[in-house]
Parts: sequence; structure tokens; C-alpha cells
Amino acid sequence: MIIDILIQLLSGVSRGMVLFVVASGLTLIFGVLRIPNFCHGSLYMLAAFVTYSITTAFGSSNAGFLASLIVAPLVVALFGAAIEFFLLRPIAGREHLYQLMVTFAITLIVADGIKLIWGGSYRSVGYPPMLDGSLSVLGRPFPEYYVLVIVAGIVIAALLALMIERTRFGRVLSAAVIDPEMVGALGINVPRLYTMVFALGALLAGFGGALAAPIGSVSLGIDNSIIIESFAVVIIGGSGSIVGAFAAALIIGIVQALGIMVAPRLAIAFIFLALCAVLLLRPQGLLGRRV
Amino acid sequence: MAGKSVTVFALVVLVLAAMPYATSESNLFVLMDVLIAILFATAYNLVLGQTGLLSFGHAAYFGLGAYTVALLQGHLGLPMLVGIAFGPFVAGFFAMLVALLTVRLSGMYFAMLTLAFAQLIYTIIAEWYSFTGGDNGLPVTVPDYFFVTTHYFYLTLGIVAASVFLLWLIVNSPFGVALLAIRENPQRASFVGLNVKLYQVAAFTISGAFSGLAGALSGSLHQMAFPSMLYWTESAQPVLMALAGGIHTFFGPAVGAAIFTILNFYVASYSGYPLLIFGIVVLLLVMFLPEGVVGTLRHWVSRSRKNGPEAVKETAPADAGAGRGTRA
Repeated sequence: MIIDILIQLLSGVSRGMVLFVVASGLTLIFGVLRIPNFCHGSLYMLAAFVTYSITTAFGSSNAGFLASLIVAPLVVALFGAAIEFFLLRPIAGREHLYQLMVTFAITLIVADGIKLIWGGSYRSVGYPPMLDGSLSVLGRPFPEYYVLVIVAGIVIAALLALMIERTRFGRVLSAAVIDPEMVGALGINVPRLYTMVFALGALLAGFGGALAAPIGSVSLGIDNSIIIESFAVVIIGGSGSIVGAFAAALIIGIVQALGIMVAPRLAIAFIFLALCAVLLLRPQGLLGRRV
Repeated sequence: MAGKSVTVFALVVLVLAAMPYATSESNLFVLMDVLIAILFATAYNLVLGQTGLLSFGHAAYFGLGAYTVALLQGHLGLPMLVGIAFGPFVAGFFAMLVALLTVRLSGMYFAMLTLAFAQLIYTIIAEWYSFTGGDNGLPVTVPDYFFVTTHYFYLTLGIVAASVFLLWLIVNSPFGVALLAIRENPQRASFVGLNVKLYQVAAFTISGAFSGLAGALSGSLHQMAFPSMLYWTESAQPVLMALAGGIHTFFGPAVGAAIFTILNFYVASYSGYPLLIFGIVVLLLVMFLPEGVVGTLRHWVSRSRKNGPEAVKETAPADAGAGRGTRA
């Protein structure tokens, strides 16, 4: 029994890592641009479909898998930069409501756009051959691919933390989370910063999509489920906080995995209970600033 | 100005009341959906346009209204009309609970939280099979009298017209003016002595209650309460309708609701890719018509009528208002 719980915990961690990668992008965009980017889930879904096309083209080889991990996020990052530059920037002076609705319109367009390009049917992407097997954890099989996902999540978290602590872009970014107007007053090119942050956020959504493609399904509708969970991560972790997002994604992944053992149908509701608890005790999120 | 609005409103209701004699039964069905959307969008705008709070979870209150009718009928055997009467109270109660938890946050945080709570309500309804029927939805049986399309049409028209008029009275009451003051500057409103949070909770509750009434009418019209009525993407509908018509006008959301419902009907019937078309329409609307149809028309009218420095004066406060409101 204990071993079952531990194994479940471990798969909860891998689930949480995918969520972290996606939600870290969302929390950066929300922290800097102050808009809940509804199309973040669409970017994730787009990356999953691009991954499908690439791995199919390479005949499900290791090379195809590696190529998809690099190309799919880049494609999506480019798409994200275009969204910010052509659609959000022209209305940057208006209420945030309008930018929010633009991102919502994009979710509709991407959903039907994917249907137009790839068709509406369900696709699956196999594990790459090199990570096809399972490890033995406490005498139970545990998929190798899940281990890769956990490692990848930790590496991304470390890279993001390094970027924020050590690079100029990272410091400007965290300053913008606190006060975007002040950053502008200090001579930073704010519109360019916005485009770069949006593209970085999209890159992370894309990497999450590519990483998750072999685990979940590649189908229409995966955008809607990931976006709600990602919003929960942003609220629980605190806007703009990478460490907060990491903690929140782990909590959600684990709570959900264990929740499935207790009440399979209501597993999603556990996320919201965690959310309510955080909200009542710390409205600004675990590591957020007061809003 | 107020007298003129009431006259126009009464005329529109009269024209609608003549519709069963002027158009086909299938058109009446579309028209009933339009009426329900009008109530939903007008009720929603009490929160967005009037109070300056961006709620992204109103589908939950709409859906709760429909489920109230279905659940009271399915579990207690109460007739449809009783369910419709209870719908706004149940929806209003849940809206109040959510508002009590969320009004301490502002701007986009508020939007995400209302979304999260709406999803919680959705999840419970969609997964609690023994009580709500889960994915299958819950049927509503319509009594014989209202099975006649014209009869149900008049019921819908009566309830929607009365509710919209009530909302108009609320908006134009001292309470409504206080909400406007809160939208323009919450801090200043609190300095004047308004209990800002209390007013916001009250506005959200009233808005949720009328949304629930719209949902109760919708569930009865389609003889079904579905979990998808509460799904988060549905919460975008009233926002879009209000924006399309103009959030800084009272009747704008109603006009937006009519446009979107009719557009939705034709696009869904004649196109294989309705979301694509809908998304492009929304994109164009948001980018190029920020004041909505009614708001833009009003600017034109006041500009051409005065055609001088006064015209600029007339539009200035509205523009200033657009700059604030829901900003984080």
C-alpha cells in the first residue's frame, strides 16, 4: 500500500513537472504583461500537434523526438511573438480586458485552425525508443519517460532561476513584475520586453506541449484542461514567481495523483480546494506580492 | 433622456410581443435564445460595465439557474415555474459566496479567481452523477401549456422585459450611481464613506441572480440542463456580448447579445469551422470597435449633433472611464 502511494506520488511529480513548465510561462506573462493569457493552452496544444508531425516524419526515432523537443517550442515561440507584436501591442494602451479578449479569440482560432490542418481525430505520439522501457522503483515498474520529464522539469526550473538571478534580461524581467512603469522610466524598451517575455512564455508552453505529447493524448481540447490548471498554479504560486510556480505545480500534481486514489471523479476538485485554502490564508499566493 | 429610454424600451417590447404573429415558429426559437442572451448580458454588465469588475465565471450562475429547475423537478417533483422562480435565488446565493471570497482581489486576479470558482462549480456538477446526472445532463419537463411555442415565448418575453427593466431601475438608482463611483475610483469612493466591498458583493450577487434567471429560462426552453452550460468557455459569452454592444451603455449588452446569438446561429448552421469565424469576428471587434456598437453610435450621434468643442467635452468622460475600470 505504502509503495503504491509512493509510486503514485512519483507519477504526480512528473505530472506536476509538465504543469510547471507550461505554467512558468503563464506566470511570467501574467507577472510582466498583467494579462491572463488564455491562449497559453492553445500554444501548448499547437506544440503537441507539431511534435506529432515531426515524430511521424522521422518515423518515431530518437532523432525525431529530440528534433521535436527543439523545433516545436521554437515554432510556438515565434507564433507567440507574432501574437504579441501584431495583436496585443497595438492595443497595449487600453484596458487589459481587451487584451484578455484578444487572447481568448486566439484560443478559438487556434482550435479550429488545428482542426483545419491536422483534422479532428485523436493522435498519439509514442515514447522515444531510448526511453521506451521502465525502471524498477521499489520493485514496481516506473516508465523511464516519466523520469525524463521530472529531470527536464528540474533543469528548466534551474535554468529559469539562473536566468532571473544572473542575466540582465532576467533582472529587468523581475523588476517589471514589480513595477512595469518604473522599468520604462529607467529607459528599458518596454514594448520589446513585452514581446520577448511573451515569446519566452510561449516557448515554455511549447516545451511543455512537446514533453507531454508522449504521455497524454494529442487531441483537440487538451488546451482547455491545461489552461485551467495553469491558472491555478499562477494563483497558488503568486504572479510572476518561478519558485512559487514550481511549488504550486508540484502541489497540484501530487494532490491530483493522490486524489485519484481516493475519489477518481473528484480529483480535479482537489485542486480547487488547495486554491481556496491558499486564497483564504495568503491571497497574493505562496510567493507573490500583495495585489 | 431617461424618459426617452423607457419609451424606446416599451416600443421594442411591443414589437417583440407582436412577433408570434409576424414570423415562423423556428424564428421564434432563435428569438427566445436572443431574449435569454439579452437578460444574461445585461445582468452581466452590472458587474463589468457598472462596477468595473471583470468576472470570468458567469456561466456558472447561468448554469446553476438551469440546474435549479431540473433538480427541483427531478428530485422533488416541483413544476417548471417553481424552478424558474427559485433559479435566481440559488444562483444569487452561490454568486454571493464567490463574491465574498474574491472581492478582496482586484483586476485580472479577480478575473482568474471567478474563473477558478466557476470551474469548481462546473466540476462538481459534471462529476456528481447520482445527483446531477453528470455528462448526460438532467431533463426538464415542460408543462403542456408552455409546450406551445407562443405561450413559452410570452413567458420568456415577460420575464426578460421585467428583469431588464428592473436592472435599469437598479442602474439608475443611488445604488447604481454608487457602483459607478466605485468603478471610476474605488479608493475615492471609500473615502466618501462607501463600503466598497459590500457594494461589490451586492452587485455581483444581483448580477449572478439575474444570470441564474436567464439560465433557468434557457434550461426550460431546451428542456435540458447540461454541464457544458457552466464550462469556462461559456463564461466568455456575456463578456463578448457586453463588449460588442458597449460596456459603458445600459442597452449595449442587449444589442451585443442579439448580434452574437444570431451570428452564432448562422455560423454554427452553415460553417464547418464556426470557432474560426467567431474568433476572427471577436478579434476584429476587440481591436477596432472597443466602445461597442451602441457606444460607437452614441459617439457619432453626439458628435454630429453638436459638431463643436462641446462634442469633445461630451466624449471625454467616456474615454477617461475606458482608461480605468478593470485595469489591474
